[in-house]
Amino acid sequence: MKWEERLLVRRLNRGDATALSEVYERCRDDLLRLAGAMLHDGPAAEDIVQDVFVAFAGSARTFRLTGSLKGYLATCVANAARNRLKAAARRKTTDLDAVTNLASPGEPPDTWMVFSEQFERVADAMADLPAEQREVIALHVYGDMAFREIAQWQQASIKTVQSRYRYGLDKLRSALNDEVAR
Amino acid sequence: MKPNDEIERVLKEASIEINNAADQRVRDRMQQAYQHSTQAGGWRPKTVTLHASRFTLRAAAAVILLALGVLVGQFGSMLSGGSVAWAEVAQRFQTIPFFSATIYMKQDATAEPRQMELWMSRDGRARARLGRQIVFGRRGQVIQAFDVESRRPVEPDGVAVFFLQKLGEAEVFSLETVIRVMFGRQMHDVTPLVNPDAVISQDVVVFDLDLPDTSEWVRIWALRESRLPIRIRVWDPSDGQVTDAILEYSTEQAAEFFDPSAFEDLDQ
Repeated sequence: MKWEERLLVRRLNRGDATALSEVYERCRDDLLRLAGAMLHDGPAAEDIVQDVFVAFAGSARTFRLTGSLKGYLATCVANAARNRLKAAARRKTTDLDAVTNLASPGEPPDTWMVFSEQFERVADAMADLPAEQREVIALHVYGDMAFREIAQWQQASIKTVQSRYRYGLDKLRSALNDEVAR
Repeated sequence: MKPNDEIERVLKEASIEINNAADQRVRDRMQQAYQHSTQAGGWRPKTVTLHASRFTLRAAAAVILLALGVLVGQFGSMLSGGSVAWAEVAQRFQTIPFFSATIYMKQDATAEPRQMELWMSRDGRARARLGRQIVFGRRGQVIQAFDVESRRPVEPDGVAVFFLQKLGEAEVFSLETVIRVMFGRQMHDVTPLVNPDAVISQDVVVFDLDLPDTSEWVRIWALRESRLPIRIRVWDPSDGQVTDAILEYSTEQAAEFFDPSAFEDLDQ
């Protein structure tokens, strides 16, 4: 996979616009799910992922890949999601939806993505997890990031990250008991 | 199935639906940002772009070395008066009308290797298998790619495209160009020498192409009696990235072997 990503980046560096579409198609759904799982807020997730994609497109000509491309984009989304949550926490009297609307004033009102019922249940369950556990699960499952990479991002040890993942999954398993049993 | 697998499956299967109109707007914004950066930044020199992906370059270097009709000749002329054995290897390879190679690419010491099979005739016809794809090429251009089982046309794998293009470029590349573009080094610093320590038997001779100011090097194994190169390795011991090419020789394949139409029609 990394081979394809390196070639994609090389094509992007050379000005191949079709490579940009390939990156988009490879990563779009997982990044949206990653943001959706972290924020439990569809419009906010859309804003973040769109901003990440557009920023990436603007720098793609000079972009240098040092790890996984999807992991890089997932980290960008996770950073933005974390910042969004912190900003929302600081404005305790401001509804998160209002913050979202302020973030992209020029966007048309129709939504980019709709959660399936199953994803809605997953996002509900994820919302009840501690933030660190939610991040680890979202980055590992939807960002395809290794625990080692997540540990660097969270500035924690790999064992801590693995524990967060395990505990988080245990809670999700209880919350999504019907889904798991299917 | 482990318990984690079940809950992970539930998470992975939880899907979203995409609004096509909104999706197109995002794509348009991305393309605009990309085009704007292209106009602002201009085209980068090819050497800089190639230098960006070291592993890709190493693989390309190996595959270009495979086109030894150019490179072995260059080495040979370079080494006139030097290693007689290498000059003989160079001359012998140039008489070969057809060769095949199995290429293994590893991104680091612990990575699983990716395998590619390559068949190439001296007139520039090429056929490659990479994963589930068979890719046909001619003089550096991909003609068509097929799924190996269904024989239906598919989008060619980017790696195969890159390799076949590099093979085509090799026809006009000199060694100096390859070294400069691929490794950023000048030819006068590069001399493949017989490595007596690496000779594993009386039948094999080993040449090392050591690149100054870099940990990367190229090793070429050749048969003493036939003078044919049988293996090429491009390796960076600092991180274990390696491209290995095992060369084989046989009678030339029939023209149909390199013909995408013949491949597509075989079962129809």
